[in-house]
Amino acid sequence: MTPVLAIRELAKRFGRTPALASASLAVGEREIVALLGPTGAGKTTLLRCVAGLEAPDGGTIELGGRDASQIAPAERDIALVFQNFSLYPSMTVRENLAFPLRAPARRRPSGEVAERVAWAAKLLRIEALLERPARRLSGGEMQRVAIGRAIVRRPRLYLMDEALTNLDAKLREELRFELPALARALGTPVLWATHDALEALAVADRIVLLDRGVVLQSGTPAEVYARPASPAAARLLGWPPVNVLPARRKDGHWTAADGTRIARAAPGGPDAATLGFRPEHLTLEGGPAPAEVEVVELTGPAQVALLRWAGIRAYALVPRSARIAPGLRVTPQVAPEHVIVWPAP
Amino acid sequence: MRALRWIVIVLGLLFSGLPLVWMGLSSIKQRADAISQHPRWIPAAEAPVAPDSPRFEATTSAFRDLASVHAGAQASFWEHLLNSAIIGFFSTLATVALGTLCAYGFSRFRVPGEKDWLFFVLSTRFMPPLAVVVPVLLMYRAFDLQGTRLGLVVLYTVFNLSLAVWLMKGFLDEIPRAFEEAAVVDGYTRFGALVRVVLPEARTGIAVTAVFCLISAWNEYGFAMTLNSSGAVTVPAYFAGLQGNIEGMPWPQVAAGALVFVAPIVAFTVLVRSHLLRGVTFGTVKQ
Repeated sequence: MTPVLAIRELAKRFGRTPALASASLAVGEREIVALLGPTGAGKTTLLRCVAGLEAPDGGTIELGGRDASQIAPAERDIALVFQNFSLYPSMTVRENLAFPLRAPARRRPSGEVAERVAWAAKLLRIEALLERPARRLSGGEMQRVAIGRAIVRRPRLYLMDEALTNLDAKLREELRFELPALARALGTPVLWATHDALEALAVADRIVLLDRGVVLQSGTPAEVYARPASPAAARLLGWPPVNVLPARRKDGHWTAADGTRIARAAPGGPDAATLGFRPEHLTLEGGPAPAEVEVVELTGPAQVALLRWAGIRAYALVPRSARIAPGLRVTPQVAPEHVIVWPAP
Repeated sequence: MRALRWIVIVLGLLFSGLPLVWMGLSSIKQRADAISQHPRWIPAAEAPVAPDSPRFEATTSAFRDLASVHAGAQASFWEHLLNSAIIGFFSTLATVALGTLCAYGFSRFRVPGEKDWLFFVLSTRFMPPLAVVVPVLLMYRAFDLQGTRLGLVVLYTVFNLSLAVWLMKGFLDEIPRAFEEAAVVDGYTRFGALVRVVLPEARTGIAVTAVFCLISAWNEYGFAMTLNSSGAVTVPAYFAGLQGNIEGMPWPQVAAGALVFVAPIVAFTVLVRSHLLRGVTFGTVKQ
């Protein structure tokens, strides 16, 4: 089946600064794809290229199998929710919501416009604001209206550029569940750009990791989380951050530079590698106690311990009931199946 | 301190308001009272008996006389006012329309040598306009534009265009591009986005620019006198042309006409006042 959106080796530079080096990804029918990357990774540039607001310097974009460079932005039938609110300040909320439906490219009869505006307003709980000028809204209200402007249309693709980032925590939590559910109900695919790994894990069918203009990895959230393709990919997902250290194979064990044994090494494979393991896979026990607890942070359901161990600072996620305190000496253990091995370059 | 402030305000008001008050008084005088050696500044219902009385008989005859053609003129005041109105309206319209489009281009597109072009636009204001009066006169003679409304419309448009471009560029620069981008993604063309989104946001700027252009075109005297001393004569040139006619200067009519002439500008400024004063609202885009 032809994907709704297919991007191949997209490149874009601003002056000398490359924003996108080589980004390839695809969004299939009814699929929610999270584009996860830190600030400056090129997420916004990629979305703007898809929407037709920027012309790429290299690579191709296909919409429904058609080369997008031949399609004017107005004809692409894409809805984009901007990170910075872009409501028209001199229009009321109602006029803002109706604006996309009055565009010459897809003008709707006024009855249908009213119906869809009412539907979107109810969904986003902004019915009471409909007659208010957009310039008199709070930030959260504005972003809800901006999302409303996107959903009143039935485009072939939604682009969300940090759509929830500027909302307050409560609303963000709600919309993190409601927006994907809505997109699934409408059957419209979404390309959802965010820097928030938890948000990406929560909303996406598939995650695309983008860093410095390059796609590091793409796959289902579970895949990307369990088998990151590189240390950089591993660092983008998960909190507390993944533990990464170089190690060599010695007597059947992965051993750190200072001689600390990390875990049993499976037979075969490289002799030198970079290891990664998630904080939740590190258990703390008694015994020879080669590690010292430096900081303990209570995060509600669990505690995060920062350890000095094997020449690095390692994060461990331990149950709330565990009695640990700074200065305590412990023996970290990680099961061999939880160790991610990246062959040393 | 407070008293001093009031003194300054009252003095300022007297200084700027007195000529207008005198003009108002003159407009309801007979010609003899208007040019009398004894100042007459108290309107009364009947003419006073004493020749040095400050009272004078109020009359509306000057306003009625505006409709008649005075000696030395070709048409009545109202016809000249119509000339002024037509020329002012169309030159303001043309200036604002051209200036806004030009400013939009400079504001939104990468123009090679943008700064030089803008400086060139501004440089058209460097020379005192009257310095080019002779070449313009020759040009207008060649094109048969002398004494026509079109001639002055074109001239005032050209003179005010640089002001309009610079003013409008400032206002348009303040309007975030995100508005147009959102409109384009929503299915509007670039021009559609300009008309539906950018221009409504630029209303304040357009109002300010229009006020300046209208005032400048409305009051212009030098070129109006030189190019249109006959034909489509505007009000400033008409009053000046009454000098030296066989019946002498009809001061009450001049005062009455000047009052009428000032009124539309005052009305226009009051109309767009809310735009001039309203804080420009860019708060809806969080940068």
